[in-house]
Amino acid sequence: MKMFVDRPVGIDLGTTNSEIAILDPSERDLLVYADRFGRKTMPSAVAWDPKKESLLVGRPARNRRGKEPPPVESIKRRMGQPGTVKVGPLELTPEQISSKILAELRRAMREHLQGGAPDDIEVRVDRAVVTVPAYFDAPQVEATRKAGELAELEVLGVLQEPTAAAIYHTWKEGLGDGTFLVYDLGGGTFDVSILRCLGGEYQVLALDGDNYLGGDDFDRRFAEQIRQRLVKTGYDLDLDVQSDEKDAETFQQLVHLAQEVKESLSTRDVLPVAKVDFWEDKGGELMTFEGEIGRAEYEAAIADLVQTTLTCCERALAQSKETASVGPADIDHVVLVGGSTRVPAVVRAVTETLCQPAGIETPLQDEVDTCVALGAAVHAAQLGGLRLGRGGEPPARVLFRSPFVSQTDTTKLTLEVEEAPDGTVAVAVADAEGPLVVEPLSEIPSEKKRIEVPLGDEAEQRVRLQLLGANDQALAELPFALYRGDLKPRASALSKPTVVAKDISVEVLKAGRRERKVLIARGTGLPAEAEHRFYTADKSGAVVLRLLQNRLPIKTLVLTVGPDVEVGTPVELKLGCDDAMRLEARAVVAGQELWAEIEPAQLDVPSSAEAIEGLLGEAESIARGLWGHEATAYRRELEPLATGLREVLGTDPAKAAALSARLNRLVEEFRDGSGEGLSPPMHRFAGILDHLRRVVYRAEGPMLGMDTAGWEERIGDVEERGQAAWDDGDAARWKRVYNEAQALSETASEQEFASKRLDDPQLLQRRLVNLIAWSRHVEQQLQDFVPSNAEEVRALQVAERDRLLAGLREHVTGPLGSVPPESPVSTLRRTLDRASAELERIEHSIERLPRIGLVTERNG
Amino acid sequence: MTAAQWRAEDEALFQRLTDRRRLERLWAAEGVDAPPPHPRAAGMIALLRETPEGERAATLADEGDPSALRALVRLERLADRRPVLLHHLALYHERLARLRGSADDWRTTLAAWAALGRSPDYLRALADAVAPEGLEDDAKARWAASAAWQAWERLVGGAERGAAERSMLTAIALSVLADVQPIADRAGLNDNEGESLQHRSERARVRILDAALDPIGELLDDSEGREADVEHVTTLERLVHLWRWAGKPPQVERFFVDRALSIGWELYKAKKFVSLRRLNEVARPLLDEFAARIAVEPREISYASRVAQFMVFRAELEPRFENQLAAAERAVRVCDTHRNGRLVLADLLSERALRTLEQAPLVGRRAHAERARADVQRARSLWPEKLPRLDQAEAAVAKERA
Amino acid sequence: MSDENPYEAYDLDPTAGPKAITAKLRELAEDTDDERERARIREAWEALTMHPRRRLDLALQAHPESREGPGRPPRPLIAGPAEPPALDELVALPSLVELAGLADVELADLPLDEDPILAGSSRTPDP
Repeated sequence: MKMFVDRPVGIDLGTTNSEIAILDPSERDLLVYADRFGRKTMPSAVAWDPKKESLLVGRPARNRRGKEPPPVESIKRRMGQPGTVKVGPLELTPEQISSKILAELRRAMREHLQGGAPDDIEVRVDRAVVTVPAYFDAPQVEATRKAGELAELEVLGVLQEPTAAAIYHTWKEGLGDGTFLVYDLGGGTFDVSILRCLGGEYQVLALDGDNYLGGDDFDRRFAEQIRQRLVKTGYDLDLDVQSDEKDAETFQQLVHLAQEVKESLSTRDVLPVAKVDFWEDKGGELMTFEGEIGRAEYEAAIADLVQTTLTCCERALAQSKETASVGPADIDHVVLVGGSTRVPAVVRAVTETLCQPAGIETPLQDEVDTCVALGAAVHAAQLGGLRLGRGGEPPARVLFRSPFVSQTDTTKLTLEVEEAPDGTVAVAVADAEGPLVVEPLSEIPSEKKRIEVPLGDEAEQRVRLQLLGANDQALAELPFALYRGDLKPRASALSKPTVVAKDISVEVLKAGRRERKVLIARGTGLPAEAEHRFYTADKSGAVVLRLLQNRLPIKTLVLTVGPDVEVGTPVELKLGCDDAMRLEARAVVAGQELWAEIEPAQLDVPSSAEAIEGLLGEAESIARGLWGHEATAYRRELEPLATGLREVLGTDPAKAAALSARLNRLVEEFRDGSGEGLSPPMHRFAGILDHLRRVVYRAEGPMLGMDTAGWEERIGDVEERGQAAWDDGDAARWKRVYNEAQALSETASEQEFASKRLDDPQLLQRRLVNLIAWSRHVEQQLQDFVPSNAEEVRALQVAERDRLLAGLREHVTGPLGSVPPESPVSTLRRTLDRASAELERIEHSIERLPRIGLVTERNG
Repeated sequence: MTAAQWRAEDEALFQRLTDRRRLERLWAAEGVDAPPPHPRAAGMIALLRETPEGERAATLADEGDPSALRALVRLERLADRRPVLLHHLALYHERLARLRGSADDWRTTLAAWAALGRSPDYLRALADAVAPEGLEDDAKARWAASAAWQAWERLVGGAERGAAERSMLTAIALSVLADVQPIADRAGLNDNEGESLQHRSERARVRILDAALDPIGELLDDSEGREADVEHVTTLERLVHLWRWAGKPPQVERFFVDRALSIGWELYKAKKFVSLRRLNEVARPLLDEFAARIAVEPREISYASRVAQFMVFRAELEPRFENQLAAAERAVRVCDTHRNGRLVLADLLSERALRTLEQAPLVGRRAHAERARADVQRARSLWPEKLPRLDQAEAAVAKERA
Repeated sequence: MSDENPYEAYDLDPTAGPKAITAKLRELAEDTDDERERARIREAWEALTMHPRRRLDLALQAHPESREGPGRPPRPLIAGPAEPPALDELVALPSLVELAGLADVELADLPLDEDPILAGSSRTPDP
């Protein structure tokens, strides 16, 4: 049986291109796969070949641009989103399409390595570290990991792209300790990471980025300018890329033209363009584009996009200042990653904005296309070591976890014997003269064994790993080599190179309002585990644990517990996130347990341009209804989203879908007015104080032994404290001051109230009218209530809403509508009293509808 | 050939080892079941040995009696001690305080930290030694100015976390923070510093009480959707227990009144008098204290109306007439403009006037009539509007005069 | 609580700086086979190296080093004591014999003045 070698690879699954790399066991060479023309990148394109009726991947797929059916490109932008994409006659999910790219990379690498290996050795490429943008959301990461599995790869871990780049640079240059700012502008995503290398260990200090901003956006922006020039020339190019496939294809042709121009402009200032009859316009006329395009024109078109990336960098630097006291001046190396960093305007902006304040002359710009895959390969070697084995009988499989290189006379090998022939009792490392060291084995698969092997003077030493039987005979042998040389620094025991990019939180109630309680904070290294105790806050019979990543709901756990579970019953929540960013949650309450693996969330994507316009309209109307700091917070998030969405509506349906999904979440959160605001709202507080001032003014003299000035001072004091609590967003303090204001108002009103006759028929009539109006308002509120998106929560809320509606009819609107006109005053008054008490209760319950089943956090 | 010599270094090493043994003995004498502090804490013994009494205490400890040493680490005046010793003492007592959970330990701990806080130079030097790079000068200065308050935050944070369960630490924190003067005195704080300590402790108490009130607030929130009943009263009872447990803080009184009044009204309107009576009984001590405070603290005037309404409930529910009248009087005393208070009091005064007239003997009838007239007059001044019993009493008084 | 203070738990000098802290903790992390312990060490490492202020806060919660240094150990005596040693003092302890690499040497066969232990272990006997 052939011996096999299995070294894990590093894969950069990019929006535009993908790469695969491996670290040689000698640790001297880091190899990136290149095709026979020496091209190290493979287009991330998949297409249907109608002739052969099969899928094409990579360059042959990209070559089908402009043909029917066209290739599927930039699929990375759709990772984590539901739905399928048409590839010829097939309907494939984004994960499936990505898996084809991964499988092709894997095949190419295996063939390449096999070509260079002796005949009796089988090279396996079964394990990989796949990189993801640092700012990917959990569902996107999960989809990437799934794509790896569909390509039959064991995904050892997902590594964030900037970290991979930093690992490559420290490996390559031996940069030693320092802080790195990695600026990674890929085809479809932008990431910035700030990392520190300390004694060979990595720390991720900050992450920021934009999952939907990349070189593709530059191209689309520029394509739009070309379109406008063509329209001026007289072509019919009023395109609807959102819903017309032909228009979308036409625009895609303009994008390809823009890409060509961009690439040429990176080496010259002015480009004469002559594209004759390159595509048809809407009227079927062949279009020709002729003229000069200057680099300045291109740069002006993308200037604000570049600025957006710099804003992300500033945010990242602010974050690293907070987490590690590392500011702009403390950066030691700025690293450029991604093909789009070849754009001169980008290099210039980075140099001026990020390098100069740190006293760095120029950014590091080495292997911008492949450094991520290369760094991932170094990390893969660290995580997965090297597996040697022999299939068939007798079986032998050994996993080496430590490098084969040492600077000293001995090397410490760490290995695990995974499979061995029956009767194996020891493992030995032997050279031609016999065993150098023997270690007994008590069980197979074995635990981790550490073996110290003496090294000879030669640079490479051929040795064998022997699996020994009871009388020292070798039952199986696996040859390998040990090397003398420099062991490049690489993260080991302390580093956690992959971190959570965005807070993972659960929605809780705090002082009566919904808040996000962070369970795993951004920057937490993986694997991570968080355990928290919460408490039930109502007797709804259900516990609702809504998990979010930043604002994106990623999973809602609903436990049905029965209505007899007391308020304040502990709810234990355990959340785990493994190396591959797989999330797993376990909740226990009142003896009930629920376990859930967190699947990619279904993003609610509006289907048409009209739906998106509708959403934008709703977002605006919500903004008008908000107050104070809540309004500011909402606006801060709304504005960039709305602007971005309006811009890409006509050029980039995939991005429009992603942005509108984000906007949808924002709107949903603020729709019921309970977003992040305090309750009761500020305007009610202001109303109470107004009323109070009027009462004091009307009194024209001392009340309760306090003169007007005293009252005014008192009101001013309450107002000031209320404002301060509101500004601080301190819910508990706010409620306290609010109650105090209300109490004060009641006290002051007593004097006026004293002379009122409660049984005055006129007063009762007025009360009746008011109550009817109030009950209509409450009914409307109930009917307008938008239940949650999560199905089980929706069911809970709808049931409660229906119960309230029934209660409203039975106890309020019914009795109020059937009071006989001639009924005695006391009967009327009692009816009114009862109805108003019930209405108040229903209003309270409406306030609680969105919070139904939510847990509360004590003291935190 | 050189003979072995006992060098100064040998003596230092010997003392270093002996101090460690002394620390262990001192710790054993504290009687807590936990390993002694880190060996570096033996530096505290070395510093204490710098005085003659410290040297004596160390010798006694060597002989097996650490009591003098134990007394020495509980210095009454911390003001003029070396910062490094204060640092040791603060940590030593904080460890004890956490393990033993005693208010005294916490007072000593906070006093030691407060005294250390008066030595920003020491703290600044520590910052320079530990973080020579990575922190700007002003950040270090800010840290040095506030570092000593971290222990305070640890106590308050722990108290908040345990508030829902009314943990021992929470009780200790509430009692320690209720009176911080001894801490200020022991740490040698000046007036300004003392005042700032006072403010800080008040804010901290509010936070802790908020945390203790939260779960009860949640229970009340949850029950708000249901008709008021005995369940609500039970929750309010818990609130009164909390009030007693926490040393009767006004914050809890206000919270009670805010949440209980609407429940009281609902019970009243639904004629659930058994529950309302129970609420009244449960709340009696709390409301009496609150009413008394309103009379003397102008700041509490906000709550006059709400507390008065409770007194009105009481006036209506009391089984004995005199108690009813006393409660109504109290309502009007708390809030002299209170409509219901005035109404009920006027009614009760009229009732008394009628009773007085009814029971008036033939001899000395005049005095009775005078008392009835006074009651009716006062009732009318309280309630100028129509009120059946008052009208009746007025008529009776007029008839009597006639 | 000071028990959990990473400086004290891993006996680290707060003034040693992040690099030395990393080196020492890395050694501990590599040595342990207990994943939970490694996780604790990682946590300590992050706490002590990520933000200087956190490093500082933890230093404040660790007892400062205020003891006098342990000093240099006394130099080994070059010559023996004034009084000639008693016979039982000359019996070499087995561990000492092993330490000097003399386990296989037949000490009994050597005359006293050639005894390698009495002469100092640097002079290894010629087998």
